[in-house]
Amino acid sequence: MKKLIAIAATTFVALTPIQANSATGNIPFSGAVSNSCIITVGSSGALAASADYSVLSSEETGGAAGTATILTTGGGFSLSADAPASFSSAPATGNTNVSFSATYAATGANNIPATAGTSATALSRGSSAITVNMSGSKSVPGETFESGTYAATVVLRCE
Amino acid sequence: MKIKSFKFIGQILTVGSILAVSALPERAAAQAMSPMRGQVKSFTDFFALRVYPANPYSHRVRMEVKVYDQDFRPVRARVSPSQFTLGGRLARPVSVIVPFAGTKNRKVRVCTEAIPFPTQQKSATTIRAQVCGKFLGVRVN
Repeated sequence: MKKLIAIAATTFVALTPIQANSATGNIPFSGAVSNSCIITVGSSGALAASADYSVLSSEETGGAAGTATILTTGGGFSLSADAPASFSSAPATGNTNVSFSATYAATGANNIPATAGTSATALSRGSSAITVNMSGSKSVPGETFESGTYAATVVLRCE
Repeated sequence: MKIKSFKFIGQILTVGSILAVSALPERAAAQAMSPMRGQVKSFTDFFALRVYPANPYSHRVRMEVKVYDQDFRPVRARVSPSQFTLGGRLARPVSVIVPFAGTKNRKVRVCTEAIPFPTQQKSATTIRAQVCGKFLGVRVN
């Protein structure tokens, strides 16, 4: 009987989970995200001529808007777009009597309809897909854009 | 004599800019620029600040830091370095020293923008990203 009790006790001990004298410690982590704005430029835009060749615009048939992504980590930022003052590359008469304009629109964290680039729009926190359009128009009636290659740059600003 | 004085002022401003950094937020990875707001007090004719332009892309980018006033007119500030190449997902400190130009307070925009590499400039229409921080310099004395 004593042997039986001894075996049973040994088995009990073997099956009982080991109870270690445990201690807990808290390991603190901390970090900070600064209030900032990130612009990631996507695809370049393409300009196409209007039917009468007086306008070069990304919104004409065959043109394409430029794209970018803006991520803001907080509030207080605004978005605007500066139209170019001239074509950076153009044929001889390409920059004569041309007025430029730029617009932007956003979807995502910010839903902004097409807005004149000169008008700044407040941004909410989050990521937004931006499309940018630009156009150059001959300001003198009857003038047309000469054949050749045109290039221009729109400044997309987050501040 | 004037050159020696200017060098001395430069040394003071360098120390001042290092001190100013302690008042500004820490930099964070993958950001176009931080901080983007700040106020700096100065006892001299200049105020100094430090910004951290960052390259959010995975490839290297040539960057430029420019200083403008409230109306986007260029300000003759000392930016060091003003142009540099930054590897993907990296940030680096840039020191900016701005003269008060006779004013008690001066608001400036410090803007970081990417410079397209020569091979990238051939495309028809490009977007140049510009991220601008707004800073106020306050002359204490």
